[in-house]
Amino acid sequence: MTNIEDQLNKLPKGRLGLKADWRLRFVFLRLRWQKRFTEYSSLLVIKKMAPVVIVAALLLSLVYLPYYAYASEGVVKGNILYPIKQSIEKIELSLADTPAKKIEVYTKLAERRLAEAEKLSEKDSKTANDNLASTIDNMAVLTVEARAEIENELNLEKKEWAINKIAQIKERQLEKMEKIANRFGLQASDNLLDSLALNIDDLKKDKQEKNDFTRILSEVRVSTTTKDYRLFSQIKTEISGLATVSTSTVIIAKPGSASIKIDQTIIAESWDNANDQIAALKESLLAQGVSENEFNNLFNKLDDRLNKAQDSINSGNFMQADGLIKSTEALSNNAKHFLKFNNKATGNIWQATSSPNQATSSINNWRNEIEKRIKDMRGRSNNR
Amino acid sequence: MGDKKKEKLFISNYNQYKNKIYTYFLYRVNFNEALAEDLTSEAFLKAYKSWESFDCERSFQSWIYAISHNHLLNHYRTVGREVSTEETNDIATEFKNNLEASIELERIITEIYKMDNYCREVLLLRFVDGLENKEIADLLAKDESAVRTQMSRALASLRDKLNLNL
Repeated sequence: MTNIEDQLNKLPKGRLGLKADWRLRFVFLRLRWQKRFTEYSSLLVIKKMAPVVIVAALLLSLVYLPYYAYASEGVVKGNILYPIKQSIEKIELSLADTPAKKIEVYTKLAERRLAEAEKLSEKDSKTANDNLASTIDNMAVLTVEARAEIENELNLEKKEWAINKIAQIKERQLEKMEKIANRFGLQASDNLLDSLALNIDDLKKDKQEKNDFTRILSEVRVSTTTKDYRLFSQIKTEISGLATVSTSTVIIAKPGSASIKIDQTIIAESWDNANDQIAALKESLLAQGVSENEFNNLFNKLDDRLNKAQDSINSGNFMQADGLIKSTEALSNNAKHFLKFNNKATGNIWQATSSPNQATSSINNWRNEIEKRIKDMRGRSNNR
Repeated sequence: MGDKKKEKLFISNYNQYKNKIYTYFLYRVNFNEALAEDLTSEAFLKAYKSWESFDCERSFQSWIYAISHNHLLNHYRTVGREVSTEETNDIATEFKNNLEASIELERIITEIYKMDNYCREVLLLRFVDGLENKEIADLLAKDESAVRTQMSRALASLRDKLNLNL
């Protein structure tokens, strides 16, 4: 290093005064605490604001949620908001003060249930099935209520309007119920099956009444290959010389056509005969395009209901037996909506191959006896 | 790095550079101690307020000198900065009064202040503030080779004026 550089390096350095130093340190401390206080205050603000925010959110949900629950088509039975929807509907109903207004509300709610049923029919689970059944039943109740209000309406014009409106709604309901029945087939849960069958039955009867429909849809009693006496065991004993009795009256329907009743009464001398007859019936249905699986499914379901009805009678529960018999009848009456036909059969309807030479008069008597027994059973259950 | 740790780091750096920055300002405000203290406080306050965004990987020295340099320029803008030759005598007196210095150093500082700003800065930053050529170049926004050249010229000029031996 040169001389000049040595000299330059010797130039004195200053020192920050103590006062200035501490003054600055104090400022640093003050700024630090200010910063911390600001952060803490923001937190406090948030904490203070939190209740306000919560209250605002609650108010919003109190106003918006009910609106959404009521207006949304997606809110169906099983949805958490459904009870809110029902509560609002109850309020709506209570505000209707004249029969005409009540009819309007009932029909509106029935239409809503129908739309909900359609939505629910897209789901495929046991819970959805049960919810669908419940929705369909509710729809039916609302329609009945609407109809009942017609009696209270004095104005003739309004009465006519109400009758036509309800008739239109029922047409739509029938169409949709048949579609749903076809979609689910016999795979539906028992609950849903009964609900659909009974509603379709009622709607058709109403249609029958309105259109003066006189064709009789017959009852189905099917016994399978069990050796147990059916609930008509008393009838069996009246027919002598026979070991096993099975009776079946089956509707075989061509898709798209009206149902045609075919009575096929099977009198079998033995277990094998009964089996043969049912096998033949199966063949016929298969020829019509119904799969063997479907056939077995249908018969099992009908038989199951009859068994339960029998058990109910045996235990003295006639109300239950009555309900089960009605379910069986409804299902058998409307079986065509539940059966899946693979091909559109346009050929002749299968005729019973039972020999006409067999005791037809006793068969007819027997059949009449069965009908009498059912009426008698119903009478006993009603009196209880 | 956590807030507390970073805070401690700032204080540590402050302790290390407070006298250097004070010296920096002192040599550039006619050795006015009170003004140098104020400017030092203001420079460090600016640094503290920007400390959160400071990248600890960078050199604190470069950073604080840059802040001080810009602060000084702002100060010059507000108060005006022109040192006439008459003032250099006063500067020398102040230098002698405020800093313990020999007569020789007094002469050196008088000659330094007679130089143009660029020469003066280069010499002061190198020999008073202890910065390297690269750091001086960054601070003055000049090329390093230019700073080296200027340094040689300044030393040669000073040598001539003082008639000192090599």
